[in-house]
Amino acid sequence: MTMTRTALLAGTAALAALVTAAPSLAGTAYVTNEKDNTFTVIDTETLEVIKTVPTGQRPRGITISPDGAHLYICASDDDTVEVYDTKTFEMLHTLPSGPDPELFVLHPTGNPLYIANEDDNLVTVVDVNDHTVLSEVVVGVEPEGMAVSPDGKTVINTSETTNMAHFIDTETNEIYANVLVDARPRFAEYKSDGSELWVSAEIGGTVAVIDPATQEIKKTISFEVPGISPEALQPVGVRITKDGKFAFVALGPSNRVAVIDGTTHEVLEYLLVGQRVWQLAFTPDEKYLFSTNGVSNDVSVIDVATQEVIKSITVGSYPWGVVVNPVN
Amino acid sequence: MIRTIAATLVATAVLTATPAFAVGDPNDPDWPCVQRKVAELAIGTVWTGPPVEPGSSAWEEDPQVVELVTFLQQRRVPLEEASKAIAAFAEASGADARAKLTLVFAGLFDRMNSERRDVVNGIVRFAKKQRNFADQVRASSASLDALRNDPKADFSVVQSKTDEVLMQTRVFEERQKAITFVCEVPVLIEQRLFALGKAVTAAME
Repeated sequence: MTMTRTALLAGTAALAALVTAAPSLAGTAYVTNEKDNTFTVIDTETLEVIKTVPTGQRPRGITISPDGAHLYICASDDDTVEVYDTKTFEMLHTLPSGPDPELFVLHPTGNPLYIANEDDNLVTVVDVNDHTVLSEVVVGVEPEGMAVSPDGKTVINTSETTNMAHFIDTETNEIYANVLVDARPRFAEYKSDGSELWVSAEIGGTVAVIDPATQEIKKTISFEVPGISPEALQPVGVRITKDGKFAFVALGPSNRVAVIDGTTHEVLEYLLVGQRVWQLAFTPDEKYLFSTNGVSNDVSVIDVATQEVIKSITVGSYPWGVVVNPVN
Repeated sequence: MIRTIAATLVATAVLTATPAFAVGDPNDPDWPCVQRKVAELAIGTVWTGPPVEPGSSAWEEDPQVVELVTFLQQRRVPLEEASKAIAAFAEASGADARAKLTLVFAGLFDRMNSERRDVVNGIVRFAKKQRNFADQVRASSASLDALRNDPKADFSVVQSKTDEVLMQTRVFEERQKAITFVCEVPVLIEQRLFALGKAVTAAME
């Protein structure tokens, strides 16, 4: 018993050391280029492009397995999800996705994958090991944003035309709550402690902060930048630091990323990044935040601590999604 | 006869395809581009440096600023070369660099926004003409149909009308193709202005 406990403690310590050590290793970021039919691989240490890999037609949503081994890409015009090996960059296989997949989210355990199918008003649940469709959940019109609660019990889908965030129970694959938000909800993101769900509304120009326990909106964040018309302030991608202290919201054609106090929900700063800023991703140590800029064809690197844009990395045409390898 | 049928088919196909108008802007039926119609650029989307008063012509009073703006504005000047010119100008301006560079950006915004506005208005005019032309081709095609159905029609008249419809259709198609390229121009200007704004900001630091 003692030995088992010692071994267990040693194992836990080793694991903790590994987890702590991981962020200091050189990392990799992957960016889908919607017009080029490629994804770009970026070294997150040197902030240089390492490689460009061809994909299927119109790659948009991108995510990665928790072990960093497999990269998932929505090839929207091929109506499929492509799976790549992050070591060899070879496409391993595809997953059945339903028509026009745009965004998706992986369960925290790495399986299954929840895919929003814009044309079919469905969320398709796919087993990534068996490559089979486990379930199809009927949601509102034009499903888009996808998020999963940190405990893995709830999946969120936002529907662009119905203007709702749908709460889906991952055990039953059924909707148990709907929250009406502002026009064209694009993206959803949980705080890492599960205490808040943030939903961006592109046309409404707001971000709704929802209490997931009661499914009630506790705050609506709006944006204002001198010299920019309100219509250009279109919130899309949202990322929140693990400690919940800061949130970053990509504001589309205003070319700005808003920095928001995660506690008071006040906007602190508007950073000028690149043109038509779309999606965001942190490095695992949260040292950097990357933004994809669809018109200027680059990725901006934001220093999270100083909240400054420190570099622009040229990638392919119409960069859309970005994900950073959690392991290396 | 085959040529006549071909002319009608081509005209029909082309004209059926024309409701591609207004794809990028539901509020403007004359906007033919896939890209969203943005009539004017907002300074806040391209600049976070010292305040620039939109519409102010103060920058035009400094001949060196005017010279640099005119040079930078040209799309044939590679961005790398433009950045070097901005850096050299900052160096030569010494203590006044920040104020002078702000004027440079004011000039760039003024000139390039105006150039872009002309292009956007030109696209709308072009699309209107194209729409009227589509009506003309449709009318010619209808009269060709009527001729073909008239047993008393003179063969040479039918032939000449067919040639006319074929020619009109070809011109229409070529103009339609040109729209795709023309639609890229406002985006190219916007991209360049953004990149120049970044270079001016970098030279201030």
